[in-house]
Amino acid sequence: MSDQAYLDNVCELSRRGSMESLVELMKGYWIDKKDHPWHRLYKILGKDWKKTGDAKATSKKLMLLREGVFGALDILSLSLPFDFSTEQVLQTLTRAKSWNEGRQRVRSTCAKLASEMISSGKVSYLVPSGLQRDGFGFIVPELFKALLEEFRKAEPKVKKGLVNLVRLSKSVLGRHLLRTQMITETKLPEDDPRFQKLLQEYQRLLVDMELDEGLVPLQETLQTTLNGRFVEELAEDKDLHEGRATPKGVQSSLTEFLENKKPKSKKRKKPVRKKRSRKGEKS
Amino acid sequence: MTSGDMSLADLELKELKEMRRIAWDLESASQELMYQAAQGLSMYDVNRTLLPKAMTLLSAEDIFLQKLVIRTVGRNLFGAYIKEFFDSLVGISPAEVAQVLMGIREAFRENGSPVSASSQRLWIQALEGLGREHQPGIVEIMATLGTAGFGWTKKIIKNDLENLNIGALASIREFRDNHRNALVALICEEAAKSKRELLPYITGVVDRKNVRFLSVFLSGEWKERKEVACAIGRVGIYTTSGIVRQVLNDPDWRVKQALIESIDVRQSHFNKLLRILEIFVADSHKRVHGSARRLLLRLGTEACANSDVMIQRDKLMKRFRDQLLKAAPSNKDVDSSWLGVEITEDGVIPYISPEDSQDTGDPEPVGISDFAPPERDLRSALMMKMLETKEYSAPSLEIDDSKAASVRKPKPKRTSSKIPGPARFLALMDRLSAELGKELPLAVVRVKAPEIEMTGKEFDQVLDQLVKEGTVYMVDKETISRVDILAD
Repeated sequence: MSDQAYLDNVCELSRRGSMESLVELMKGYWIDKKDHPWHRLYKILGKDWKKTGDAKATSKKLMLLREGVFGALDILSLSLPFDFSTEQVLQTLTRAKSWNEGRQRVRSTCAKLASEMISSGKVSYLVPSGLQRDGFGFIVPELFKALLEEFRKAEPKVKKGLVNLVRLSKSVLGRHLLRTQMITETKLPEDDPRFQKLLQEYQRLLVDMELDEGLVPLQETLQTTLNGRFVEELAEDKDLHEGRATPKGVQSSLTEFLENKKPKSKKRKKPVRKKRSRKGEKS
Repeated sequence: MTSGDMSLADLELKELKEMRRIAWDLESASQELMYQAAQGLSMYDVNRTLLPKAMTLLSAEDIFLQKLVIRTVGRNLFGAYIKEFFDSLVGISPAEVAQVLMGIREAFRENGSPVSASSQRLWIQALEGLGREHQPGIVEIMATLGTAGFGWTKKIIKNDLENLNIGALASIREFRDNHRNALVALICEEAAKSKRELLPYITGVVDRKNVRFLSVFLSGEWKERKEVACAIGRVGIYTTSGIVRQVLNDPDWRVKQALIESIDVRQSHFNKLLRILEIFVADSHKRVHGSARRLLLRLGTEACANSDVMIQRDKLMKRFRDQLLKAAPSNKDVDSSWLGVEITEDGVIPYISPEDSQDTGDPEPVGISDFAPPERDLRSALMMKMLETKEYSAPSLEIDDSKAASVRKPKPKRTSSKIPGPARFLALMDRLSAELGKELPLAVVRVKAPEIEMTGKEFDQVLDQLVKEGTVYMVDKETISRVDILAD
């Protein structure tokens, strides 16, 4: 397959939404670079552009390529907010020693970049549900915080009898608010009845969001021990008991084991109680 | 603009910024901007980049925005998005879901469907969850999902034919050849076992490659066989073996007539068609050979798939000139000028051969007085007159037909008591229909059976025979009517 044909094939698969097939093709890069020229794909497209001079067709292919690559690497949610080109992604990918390593590298780079974007306040195009879907759920709380911060800063303030809503209309949550209030103006007179309503809703939304912020389980709902410690390692505790119980089972013969079923279960329970009380004493 | 002005990365960024604008405007407070953006979203050829954003709008409060987004998203799904999207369709109206399915099918048709088996499986899993009312759309999409979709369709036909949506049957046409044939074979087999009423819908799906699978229905009653015959005619005659031969040998004339009348000449092979018509023109039943002659006449002006009219005329003239000349006068709507003979006879009353009307009756004696018509009734009186004089049949229209000529001569008068059963029956019907109208309740006619000296058993026999001949027509189970070519 010629390079050009390979590129067309990639675009076609991307158009069909057959990302799994693209993954297979990408894996092929580590088998034979000549057959699967992912490292040169961007250049091939550039050559194609020079030859045809058709910017429209090229940009279409470019976007198909971008969607295909981002989709295949499960980072589609970052395709919109990220400025860097597909070439950079492909470079990161193809410099790795294997497909798995390459994918990991790309994803960790992306996660880092996304966190940076969030901390610098560029949150307009980051979609929480999209990040969650792509396995970047760990950034989401951070993103929520940043969105809230942006929203807080955009509080509408009165200046010379006018309310400036520009800032609000530029924040993600603010837009949502303005939309529900059906306010399209960027400036409102102070005595506009809509402004009072808007301010009320603003406060309400702010409180709502602050409560929602920690969507990760609230501490009140976690189980605590008597001394107020959170029980987080229940599963590990269980393992410990079982580990203790097994040596005893090995010692007794099979028939004994069957006959003495009841006393055994009693024995099992005892160390649990002891252990917990001990833990409490120590702390 | 040329490639010299900007780098590929710049071009990409430019495109990306346009996408961002759309994404941003989708959330705009101004409805105008929002709708524009949504429109842009759906117009954009390549817009998977906006998919994560669009997914958040699936539950948008604005119903128009929601509709636009749903349709766009449906066309761009892949991977994890598929299941999530179909899960979100729960609260959407069925009509809208049908639209979405149509959009997906369209997208698959334009862009092609996912090729990898794992994405196909994802699609199938998601589609399975939709209600039965969407089966037609689902099956159409399945047709594009390769072997996996074919397997799924096979499964529902096999396991759930009872609940199969009839619309889904039509979607089977969308499958590629080998899959379609296998599905038609499977449906025929399963439907013949448990759901024979599906036959009319199946005949709508069959084509030349798989019409043969309908042969399982040929063991049924004549109405089913007739459906099958029509389907065979529709796909055209291109062979004389197999299922065509089976219908050719059918004992019921209605089946044969249905076949001849439904034959699509343009789809048929001339030689094969001629072969079966040769058999049909020799058929003993008037309607069968009548239809066959008519079709022969039509072949003089309509070309078959692999020949042209001139070749056909040559062959027809050589082999069927007699038949054509007989057919021409009674089929004035078909152009017969190519025969080179001017047909001048203009009889309005069609010819009914003696066999059709009376030769099968049993000669049980009956008195004419038994069914004497009321004096006022002109039509019945005329009928009686005809029966008496044995000039029941109208003057023959057929030229050069010795049989017809013999009919024209009045036969020796029979005594009224020897009028055969069917004739008596018809006379009774005519008498009654003068009072009750054209369609007669069967019960009323049956009560009058003793008047024409018939027992109940004879009555049923005669009725059966007449229905089979086509002289009497069962409107429904309770009503009969004369196939009245003499009236009006």
